[in-house]
Order: sequence, then structure tokens, then C-alpha cells
Amino acid sequence: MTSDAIAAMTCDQLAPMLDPFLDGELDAATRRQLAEHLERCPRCADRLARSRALGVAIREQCPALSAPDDLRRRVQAAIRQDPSTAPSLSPSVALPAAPSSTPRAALDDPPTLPHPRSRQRSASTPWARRAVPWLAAATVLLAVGGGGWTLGTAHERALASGAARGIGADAVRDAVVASHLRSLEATNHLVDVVSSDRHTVKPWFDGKLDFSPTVVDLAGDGFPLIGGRLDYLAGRPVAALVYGRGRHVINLFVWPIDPGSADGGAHAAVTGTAMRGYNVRQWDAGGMTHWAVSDVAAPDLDAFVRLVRQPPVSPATSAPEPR
Amino acid sequence: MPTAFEAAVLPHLDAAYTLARYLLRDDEDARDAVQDAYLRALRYFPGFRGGDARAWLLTIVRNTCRTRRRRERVTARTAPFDDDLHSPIESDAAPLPPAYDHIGDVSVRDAVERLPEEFREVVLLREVHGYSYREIGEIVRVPVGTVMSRLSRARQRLRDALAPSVTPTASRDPDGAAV
Repeated sequence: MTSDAIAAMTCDQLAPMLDPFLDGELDAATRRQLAEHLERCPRCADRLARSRALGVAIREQCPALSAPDDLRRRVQAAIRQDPSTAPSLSPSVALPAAPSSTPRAALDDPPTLPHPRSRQRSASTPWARRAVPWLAAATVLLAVGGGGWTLGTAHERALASGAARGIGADAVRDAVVASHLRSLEATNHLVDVVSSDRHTVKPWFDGKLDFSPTVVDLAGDGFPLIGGRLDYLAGRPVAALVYGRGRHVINLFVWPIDPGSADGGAHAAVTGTAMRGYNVRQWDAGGMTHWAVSDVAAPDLDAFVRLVRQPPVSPATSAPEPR
Repeated sequence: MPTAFEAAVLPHLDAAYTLARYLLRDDEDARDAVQDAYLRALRYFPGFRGGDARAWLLTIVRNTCRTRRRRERVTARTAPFDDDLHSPIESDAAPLPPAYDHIGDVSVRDAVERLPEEFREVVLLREVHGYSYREIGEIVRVPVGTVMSRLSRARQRLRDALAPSVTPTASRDPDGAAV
């Protein structure tokens, strides 16, 4: 299917693509076409918003958990006592590379279908023929590994121009969310400087901005620094600090409070809102205004904000999450 | 001095516990399953040639949980899960699902936990662990197309299950945001 076909499809035909759209599983061309449709079609935009709200609700009510300490001790003890820690193992347990090589012995039933070893998008593979018909159209559009998604460019343009004129906090919030979305659109837009080291990220902004953002290291608290990006918001260049939370991204935008703006400098307390399924937090501190945006659950974002506002005194030393 | 196994796999204990806890819906079971999975992982570790250690571990956790549940289900159905049988037919005339503006009094978690296992695991791996369809396919060992259709049906079920208890909203946030 060519991406032009999207334009010819009805809303009901497009409906099965909305979840893959949100999941970042559509190829760029399809995503763009669908985004254009969503700009024009309130019915589909509404469906999309509900899908996103469901995702947020799931993440909020089924949060990632921390293993209890006693389980950690139990597991460590069990591992150390296990006789099979010895390097010599029977050849029968030798296995090819993970994850497509998960131990067969750990499987309860043999796989009945060919395992997708490589990136597949052809509709002619047997598994695709098995797919139920209404999904077939969307299945061929799968661009596995394609990240992010895009929405509302007209919306963004309108807001960006509003922000440039220095209008209210709502417009700034919208622009901040739009920038967050834009940053997810392609991984190379997410960060200009890739580093988990705040001593690399902070100096990177020198000479690019007329202020120096505070960069804190929160890897020990589960919010590893991914990098930094120069962005343009509210009519001025701003620092975007990018943190991770599992597979999710938090954008933290920082810029000096504009004393001339209507709402400048009056928000020492954190205000929180949700917009299009994204959680947004705003506060002012140290002469800077801060906006944190993410699709992580609200409690996670609140924890992040607390840590940014009051960084841990000594950097935690727990093992960093590689993802 | 941690071993290579500990360095690669222990950092993912939280993820392992999270998946087991939601799959088994019982804390004690989840702890036992996680410990069991780690011991299995230890034995299989010589075959692990790098890559995504978390996905590798979660595959083992998921299979360990399945084994445990199967053992418990003495009277369970014997037919294997059939994607086609478990698909609610999507009607073109289906009404739009309600917005989740007022999700507070609705237990999304209950609805997730009541999903059939095959649906629940893909929802968890997607929403909680953030895996792509391809990665979920590798963990659950089904083709990408099946991941996609299971996710779609699972989400439809959640929307259906949550619909009756969602308060209709007179003034709906145009963004449909969950506030």
C-alpha cells in the first residue's frame, strides 16, 4: 500500500492504525499522512485522544514496581548458592544469542509459528496471511523499529507564533507539549548532545544560550540523563534536558523567567496539568522557569520534579538501568 | 565482586518483579516466580550472547509465570489460546468509546488483571515495559502481526470493560486528556 492510500481510506478503516500510530509503529510516510488526516478530522482526533488516555490510565494504575528488598536478597543468595554457577555446563544448555534464542527449556510450548528474526513488513509472510482481515491493511504499514509519532503541526505552528508574541501560560504549555512531541518524532531530534554525564551536557550549552541551566544527575533515582538539546520556545532559545524513565522520555525545558511577561516569576509552586494524554509540570526556581513534559504516569513525573527541585545530596551509586 | 551474570541480569530485578506481579496477580507467587526465573536464567546464561538482557530475562520470567499458572489450573481449558476465537468483532457501527476523563473511580488495573493472559502480557510489555511490537513478539514468541492484533483487541476489551463505569461528562476536555 502506498501512503497515498491513507487519504482514500475512511475513518473506520483508519481506526485500527491509531494504536500503532501512538505506539510509534507506523513508518514515517504513513505517520505523516495519518497526522494530516487527524488534523482535519475531529472524530479521529477524538478517538486518538481516548486511546492515548487509556494508555496513560494503564501506566498510572499499573506502574512499574520496585522489587522488595527481601526478594532482592533472596535472589542474590539463591544465585550465589546455585551449583550451576560453575563455568562448566552441559552442552545441551548452550544457546544462540538472545533474545531470539530464549532457552527452549523455559518455553512451555514449542512455537507454532516462525519466529520473526528480522524486521518484517511484507504481507506475503505466512503470519501476515493469518492476520484478521481488518488488521491486514495496518499490518503492512508496520515499520518495525520506527520510533515516535507526530501530530498537529498546524496546531504547533499556531501556538509557536502565539508564544513568540509572549502570550499566556496556556500557549506556552501547548508549545512545550508540541516541542516534546517534535523531539520524539525522530531520534536524531531528541538530543543534540548525547551524554549521561551532566558535566558534559551543561558546558555544551555554553555559548549557545545566554544562561546556564542546572543539570542534575538522577540516574540513581531511575531517571538517567539522556542528553540535551537546544530548542526554541516562547520566542527564545531554551535548554531542553532529556531524561529517560524506562523507555519513556521526559523533556525538561529551562529558560530564564521573563520579568516582563504577564506571568513571569510568580509560580514558585509546581502546577500540573495533563494535555492530550501528556503530563505537564511547571514551576519557577532560581530565576528560571521549568517545564517538564512526559507520557510517564503522573506520580513518576511528580517524583522527577521533586528530584529536580531538590537533587539528592550525594549521587546514588546503584547500578544504572541500561535502557 | 559481582559476576557477569549478576552485572547483566540483576539490574532488571524490578522489571522482572513488575511483570511477574501483574501476570500472576499474587505477590507471593510473583516473588517465587522471580526467584525461579533467576535460577533458570543463571543456567541459561552461558547461551546469552549479549543484546538486550532485560528482554532476555523477561522472556524467562514470562515463561516461568506461564508454567506456574498452568500447574495451578487443574480444571483449566485444554484448548490453546486462539487469537481468532478471542477477537471481539469490530463493528463499523460500534459507538465511540467514552473518554477516560474520569477514570479515577474505575479500576483500570482490575480491568487489566481480568484480561486473558495472552492479552494481559502484551499490554504490560507495551505500556509498562515500553517494548516495541517486534520486541514483544520476541519475548512472547509470536509474530509481529499477532502482537498488533492482540494489543488492539486487548485495548478494545479494556475500553469495553471500562465503559459502563465511566461517568459521562457534560463538558469534555477537547484534548480528551486524563486529568
